[in-house]
Amino acid sequence: MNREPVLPAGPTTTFRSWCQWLCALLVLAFAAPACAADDEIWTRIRTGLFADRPIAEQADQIIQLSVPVRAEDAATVPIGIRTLLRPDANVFVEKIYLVIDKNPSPLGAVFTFTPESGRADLETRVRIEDYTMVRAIAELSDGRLYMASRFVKASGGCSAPAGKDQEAARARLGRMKLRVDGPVVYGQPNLAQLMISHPNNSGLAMDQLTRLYVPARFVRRIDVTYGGKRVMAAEVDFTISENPNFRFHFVPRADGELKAEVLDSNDVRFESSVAVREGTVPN
Amino acid sequence: MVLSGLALAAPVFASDASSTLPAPRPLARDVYVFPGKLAAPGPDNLGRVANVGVIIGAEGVIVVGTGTSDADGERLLAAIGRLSKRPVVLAINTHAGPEHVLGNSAFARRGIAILAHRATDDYMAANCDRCLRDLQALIGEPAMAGSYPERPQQLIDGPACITAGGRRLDILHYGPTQQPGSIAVFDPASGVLFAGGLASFDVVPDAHDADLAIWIKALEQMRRLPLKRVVPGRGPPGRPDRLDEVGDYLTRLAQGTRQAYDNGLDLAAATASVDVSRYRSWASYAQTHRRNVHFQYLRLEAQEFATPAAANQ
Repeated sequence: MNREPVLPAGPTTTFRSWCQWLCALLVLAFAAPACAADDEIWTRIRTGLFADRPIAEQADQIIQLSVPVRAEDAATVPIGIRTLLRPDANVFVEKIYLVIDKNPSPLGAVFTFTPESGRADLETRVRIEDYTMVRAIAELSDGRLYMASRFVKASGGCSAPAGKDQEAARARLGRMKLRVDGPVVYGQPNLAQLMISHPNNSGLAMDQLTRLYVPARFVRRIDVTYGGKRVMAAEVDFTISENPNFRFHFVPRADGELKAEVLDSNDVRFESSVAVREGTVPN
Repeated sequence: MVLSGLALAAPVFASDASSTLPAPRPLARDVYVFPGKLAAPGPDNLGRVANVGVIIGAEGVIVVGTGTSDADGERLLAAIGRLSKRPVVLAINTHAGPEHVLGNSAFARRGIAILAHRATDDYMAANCDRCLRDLQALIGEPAMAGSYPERPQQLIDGPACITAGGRRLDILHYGPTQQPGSIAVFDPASGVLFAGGLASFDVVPDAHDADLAIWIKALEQMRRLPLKRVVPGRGPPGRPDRLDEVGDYLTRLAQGTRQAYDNGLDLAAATASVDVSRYRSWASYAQTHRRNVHFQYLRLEAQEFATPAAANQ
């Protein structure tokens, strides 16, 4: 409970650490021979992230991952991560790593949870570039690791043409909606949803009309607090689909404010908040 | 060894399977359709799943749709030459479906003008490299040999009355419907409507880039025309009242997705739960309907940001 906050506080530090792991992964990706077996890609990612720490893989009783076997659209593949630690366990799920082996940036997201989250469940949508294993690795507060993985058939999601109307997307960039699936019940995990209007450009998509690449610009950090205490944080990249969308839980114990702070790769900061009262539907 | 054997055998197989087009079906005097297969594009049907319309005017022939590939376009032109001695003077791309436009190159090679809505040309420019690759993956490289997305040159910006080959035709555009540039071709002389992407019969329409509300209204407006026969982009030609089925499917798709969204279902749950069971017998229901729900859900979500007031800043 008294562990240090997992994410560094300042944006500069965060960006540096983000760059460090992105660079580390890029080095790994380029170092891998083109014909690397699928398992080899994962082995390299795994070693970079967790060294030789054991990861339990038959872990349905701890973490479950749901993804469509065949995606409707490789640029918006819904993924659901569910964790099943009993609330009276004296450990909690502190982080969930989302790894998509064959993506240009395989470590797509690191989510951080706290006891204030109540449940370390998460839903979002991701881009998938090629048929791949998708993995969610839960790290408990005592350091144990559990993994759920699924094979997904989808391709071209990262390099898919950007949305039709980039100008409209720029005008709406940064608008957010934070809502709670009410009525709110105190002392229990309540489901919340954060919607961010952001093109989340990967930098890998060519505008077929101009033959130019749309520059990368994407949400990279999200911090959600309730009454000033963190309930969910995420370090993400262009793996997350256009208009990033997250469903997560938080445990309100009294009237307060649910607040989201978002930082994108241009160092632009966005904020949204909603007042929470027991028995109401905050919106 | 096995591989080289296959490579040698492949062209022979391809030419066997593809040398014959389905026979043209007469719909009215001087109006024909080359019917597409009611199936997903695959090696067995060479992706020939779309209807191609032929209207023979006093001075020349108008073709609605150009086929699936360069070779398919060539075969169509040869078959049309057997239907009429008059020259083909115009091809029309009703929308940017790969199985409707990838035969363009065969028409362009003969100097035949290709007409489309400007938004369809834009759509092709943005997406057709990709859809060519997708179709290659589905039906195989040999069948797609030499194909590329040749762009239309005669662009219109809205509905238009044209005369081609001595025949007057109404080009209908109702705004963004199935795709932003989807058009239908009405031949007043015969009462035949070539609905292009705006309608499909016995197969779930592709609504992944649609504006459902405008599309539903467009179907109602087309019903007021003096129609005798409707040729959908995909599926068998039918009576004009079959357009109502398309409108009904789209209405249920819009309402079902709205309800799932308003009930707080997430994307995956909405996609799995919005069921329009009366259309389960339509081809591609399992894949295309889910995909339609998926994209409609994302459009509802994007609408939340349409105005600054909608967001809780």
